[in-house]
Amino acid sequence: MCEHSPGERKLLLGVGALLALLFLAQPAWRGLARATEIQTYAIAAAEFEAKLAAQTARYKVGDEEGVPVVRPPPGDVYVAAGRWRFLPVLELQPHQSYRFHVASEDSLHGVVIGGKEALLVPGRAAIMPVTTAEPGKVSMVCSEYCGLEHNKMRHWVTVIAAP
Amino acid sequence: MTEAPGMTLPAALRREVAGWSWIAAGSLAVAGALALLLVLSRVPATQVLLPWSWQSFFYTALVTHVILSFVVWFLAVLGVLAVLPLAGAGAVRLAALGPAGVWAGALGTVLLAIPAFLNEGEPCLNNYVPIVVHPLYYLGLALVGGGVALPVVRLLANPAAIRGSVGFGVAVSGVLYLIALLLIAIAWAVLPAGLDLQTFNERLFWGGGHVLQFVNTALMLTAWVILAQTAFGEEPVPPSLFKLVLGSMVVFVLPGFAFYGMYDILSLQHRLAFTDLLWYGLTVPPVVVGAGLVALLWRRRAGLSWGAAELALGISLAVFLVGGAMGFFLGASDARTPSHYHSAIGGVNLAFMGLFIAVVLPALGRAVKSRRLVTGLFHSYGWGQMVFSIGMFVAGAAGVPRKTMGAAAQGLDSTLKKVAMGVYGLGGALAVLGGVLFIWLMINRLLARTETDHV
Repeated sequence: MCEHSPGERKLLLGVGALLALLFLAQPAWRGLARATEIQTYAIAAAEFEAKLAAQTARYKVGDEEGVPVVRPPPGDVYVAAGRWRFLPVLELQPHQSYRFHVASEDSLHGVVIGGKEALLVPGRAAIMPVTTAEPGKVSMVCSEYCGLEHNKMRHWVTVIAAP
Repeated sequence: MTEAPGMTLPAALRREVAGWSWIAAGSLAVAGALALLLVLSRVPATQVLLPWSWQSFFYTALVTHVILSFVVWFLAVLGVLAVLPLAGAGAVRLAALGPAGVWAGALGTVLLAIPAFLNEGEPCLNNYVPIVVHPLYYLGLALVGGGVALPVVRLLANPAAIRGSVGFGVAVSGVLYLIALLLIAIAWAVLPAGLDLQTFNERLFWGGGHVLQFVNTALMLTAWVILAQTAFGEEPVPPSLFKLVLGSMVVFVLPGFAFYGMYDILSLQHRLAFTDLLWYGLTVPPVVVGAGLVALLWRRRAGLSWGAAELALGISLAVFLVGGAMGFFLGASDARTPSHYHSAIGGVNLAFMGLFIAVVLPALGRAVKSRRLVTGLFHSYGWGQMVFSIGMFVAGAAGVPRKTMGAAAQGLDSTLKKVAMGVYGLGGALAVLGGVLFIWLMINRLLARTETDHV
C-alpha cells in the first residue's frame, strides 16, 4: 500500500470526487433530453413531395439559381433535405411562429436551425418550431456527415421586412 | 520503465522501436507528399500534369492524407511507447507479438496508400477514420489496427513493465485502444444492412473514433511525463494523481458499450452520447497534468535551457490548452470546429515530436546533433499551429464555414474574415515548414549510422 502525504491525499480525493461527479453528470444517463425534444412523424416520400409541391405552387415568389423562392404564411412550412442542399429558399415574416417540417429525400442528414437540432431519417419528418425575429438571415445547416459535399449543406432563411 | 533518460534498449526491442519510428516518419512523409499533390491538383496550371483526373484524385488523396497523418502517425507512437516500458522489465512474455506487430503495421501502411496512387476506390470523408472503399485500403486498415494491438497485448501481459507512471500511461492508452477496436467491431455488428456507404462509415467509426481521441490524449499526457523526466528528472504530478486521472479515462469510455444498447446506432442520441464523452471525460486529465506541468516549469524556470524536451513540453502545453479552450466555444459547421481540433492535435503532435527527438532517436543511438534545427522545428511548428488555429477560430466565429475552399464558398465578405483567413494562412505556412523539418530530421537520423552499438 502506497503512503501519501496529507496534502496529496486531499488532492486525490478532490480530483477523484470531481471525476466521479462528471461521470454521473453525463447527459446520456438522462436519455439526452435535448435530442428527444424534437417531434418526428412517419411520412412517405411521395406524400412529403406532394406537400412541398403544393407549398411551392401556392407561395412561390421567384427563383434563385433554379431553386424556387417561397414566402409561406406563419404556420406549417415544408423543407426537403437532400445531397447537398435544402429546398426551397424561404422568405419569412418577422416576429412570427412557424413549424418547419423537415425531411430527408435520400440518406441520413441532420438539421440545425435556431439552436435546435434534429436527425433526418428517410421516411420521417422532424417538426422544428421557428420563431422569427428582426429582418435578417437565419442559418440552417446539416449536422450529420452525409457525403463528400456535406459541408456545402448550409442554407439561409431570409426574414424579410414586413410589407 | 521508471526513467526515460539514458534508456538502454536490448537489440530486439531496439529493432521494434526503429520499425515503429519508420512507420511514423514514413506515414507523415507520404501524407506530406499527398498534401503537395492535393495542392497541385487544385492549381489549373499544374492539375493537367497529374497522371489522374484531379477531380477524382482530390478526395481519395485527402482521405489517405488524413489517415496517414492523423491515425497511422498516432498509432505508430502507441507502437513505440508499447515497446519502451519493456526495456527494464527483464524477460519479455509473448515476445514474438512485437516484431509481428511491426511487420503488420508496415505492410498495412503501404496498403493504405496504394488506392490513392492508383486513383481507385470511393472516398468517404467520414469523421475520425476516413475511408477509401477499396479492398486494399480495408486490408491495410485491419493490418495497422491489428498490428498496433499486438505490442499492446504483449505489454499488458508483462505487468512488471507497467508499474511506473509511464508504463501505466502506456497501458491505459493501450486498453483505451483495445476498447476503441471493440466498439468499432460492435458498430459493425449492429449497423443495418443496405445503408448508404457514407452513413455506414460515419456511424461505424463514430464511437470507436471518439475513444481514439482518449487514446491520443493519454499518449500525449504520457509523453509529457517522459519529457519531464528527461528534462528535469521529475514528473509533473505525483504518480498516484497521474494514475488516478489516466485510469479515469478508461472508466469514462466504458459506458460507450452501453450506448449501443441504450440508443439506436443511427440516432441523434447515439451521436451526442459519444460527443458528451469527450466533454465530460476528457477535460480533467489534461487540466490536472497540464497544471502540474505549468507548476514544474515555473519552479524550474531559473535553470531552463530550452533543450528539445523543455521546448516540446512548453509549446505542446500552450498549443494544446488553447485548442482545449476553443472546444468550449464551438458553433455548428463553422471553422471554429477545425480550429479546435487542429490546435489540440498540434499540442499532441508537439509532444510526440519531442518524444522522438529527445528520447526515441537518442535511445536508438541516432540523436539529432543540431540544436538550432531542433529549436527551429519546435518554434516553427508550434507557434505556426497556434497562429493558424487562432486565425481559423476568429474566421469561424465571424461565420466562415468549415471544409470549404475559395472566397465565394467561404463567404469572405468582411475585413475581419479576410484578415483572419490571412493570419490562418501565415500560421499554416509556418507549421508546414516545421512539419517538413521534423520529417526530414526523422528520416535523416533513421538512415544515419548509429553512434554506438549499445546506447
